[in-house]
Amino acid sequence: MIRLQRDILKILAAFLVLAGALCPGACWCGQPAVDSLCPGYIWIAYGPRIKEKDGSLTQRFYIQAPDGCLNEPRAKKMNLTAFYLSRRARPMGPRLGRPLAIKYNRGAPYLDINTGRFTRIELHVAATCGKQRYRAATVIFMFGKSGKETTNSLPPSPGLRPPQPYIHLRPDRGHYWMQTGQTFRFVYQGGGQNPGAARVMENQRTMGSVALDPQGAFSYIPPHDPRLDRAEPGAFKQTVLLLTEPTPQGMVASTFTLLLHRSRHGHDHLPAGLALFVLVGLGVLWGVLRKRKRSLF
Amino acid sequence: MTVKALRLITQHTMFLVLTYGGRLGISLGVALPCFSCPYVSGCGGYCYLMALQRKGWGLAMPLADMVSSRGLEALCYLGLFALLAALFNKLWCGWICPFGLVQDWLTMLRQRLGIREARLSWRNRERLKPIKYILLAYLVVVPLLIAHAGLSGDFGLPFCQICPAKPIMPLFAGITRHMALDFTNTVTLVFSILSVGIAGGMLAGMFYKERFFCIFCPMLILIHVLKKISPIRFEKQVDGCLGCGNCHRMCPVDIRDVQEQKTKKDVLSEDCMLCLTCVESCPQDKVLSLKFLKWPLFTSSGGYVARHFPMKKRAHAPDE
Repeated sequence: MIRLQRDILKILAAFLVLAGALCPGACWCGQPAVDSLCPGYIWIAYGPRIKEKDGSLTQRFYIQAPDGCLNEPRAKKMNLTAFYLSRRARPMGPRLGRPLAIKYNRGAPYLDINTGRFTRIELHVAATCGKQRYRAATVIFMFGKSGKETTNSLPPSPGLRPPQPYIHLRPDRGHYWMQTGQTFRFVYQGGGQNPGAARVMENQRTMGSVALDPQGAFSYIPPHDPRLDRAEPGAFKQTVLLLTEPTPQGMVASTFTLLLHRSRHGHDHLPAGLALFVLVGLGVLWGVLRKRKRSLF
Repeated sequence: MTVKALRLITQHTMFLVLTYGGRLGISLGVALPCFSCPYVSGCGGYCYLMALQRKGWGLAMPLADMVSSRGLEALCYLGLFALLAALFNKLWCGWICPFGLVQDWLTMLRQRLGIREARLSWRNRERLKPIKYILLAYLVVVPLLIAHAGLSGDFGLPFCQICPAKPIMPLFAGITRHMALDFTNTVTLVFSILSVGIAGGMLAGMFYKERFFCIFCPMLILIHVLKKISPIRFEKQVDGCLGCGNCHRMCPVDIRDVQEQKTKKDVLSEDCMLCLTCVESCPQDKVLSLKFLKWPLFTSSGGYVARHFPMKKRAHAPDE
């Protein structure tokens, strides 16, 4: 009986190994590898942030597709390109576009951006698969302290502009630390007349949708997240906004990744604080007066 | 012009610079040895206690960062603080600190209202003295625990979280949010209750007792440590002192060391904030003097007392 069980396990293991070896070449997210079968969308996921010894910061970004099946051969076939627009935040500098080299770690495509200054980074990734076009974007502020502009990207390329259509986050002063409860205003740049609604996703699960106005503008206020509120002040989550638009040339899927922290002042209760402040203050005043009255007698 | 008037002008000028200077592009750095609260948006410089507790600039820095350029930056801030604290020593407290001026405003208001000051007995004052050491230990230990023992980041800036300047000073810039209770989680709620409660109690305490907060101020200890290398000296010619006790009676923080010192020249005690009220009120020529190295900046004189404290007023001075 035990021998039979062992044999079954061996056969099962051999099958799994074989399936695993064949899958990267043969499947696209569990489906047969036919060129017309492309991922639904791609998005930028935030990786670790490394503090370099010279004071500069390196942020890693992964380019991902649903079910994590974007590997090196696929990425190369999809003609993945990436670049970023950076702007020194303090003092305000000119907007510079820099192409980025896509690197691979165990087949997973990733990007590294390094900066030694307080900089606003607007990262764009574009790809094509058959007739489908993909856009992914994100915005992040980086607080580098080496004073150097950048160390690991290619030289600036004037006139670099994101390929349309794409989701554009309207700049705001509060974006250096994006939080739940904050209002984010987007514009679907270069899109068609009726792009529909933007899907809000977390961990590839749809959490809701946001309707666009006829001009392609929409606002999103991420709700407070109790898990973030209980975690460290620096903890974050990633929310992806997805817009898919059918065009005569094929489907366009655009995503925007928001790196959200817990709200700093969203849970503040001013009347309660003021009441406590006044009560304690009056309590001390009353205590001193009472002590003085007692000492008179 | 009296020293008191000169001090008030300096205090008000520094209050404007440190509270609103940032809006005019003034930035005096993050290593100021006074309560120039960083929670005041548009302030002209930051209190060093904040930098000392911060992850990026002070004790909450992880070990790996300490050996990088960030560690060097933190060391530069410490050096700058030491330089500034040594250069002006306690003049920071009596002449520059914006939170000190707020306390002086409350004292002026109380005096205008004719309300008697609360007297702290010497024994009670001595009992309260260790609190500032406890606060200093607290602001040093908690950031270290965050950096090396995995304490939650919600405990970050532990002294700022309970400092009464945090809710009060931003009010001068129209910011009320630090008066709010923060219901994010239990730790933030407890800290906000402590912060607002301490601020309310301290404000009332500062109204009744001149420079009440200075009894608990941990910055005083840090500045006092640098007394030995400071060019600012506060000296007494012990032979000339008659022991009249004016210095003790007039002192806003009730220091009696100046009167009681019978052997040593140096009378700059830990709680002294160099307001020079004692020097102004000393009737003996050159007995008390504030010096920059060996050069006297201001010395006591009978003539000064006669001019600025006429007999009628002196008769009303509070008795021991």
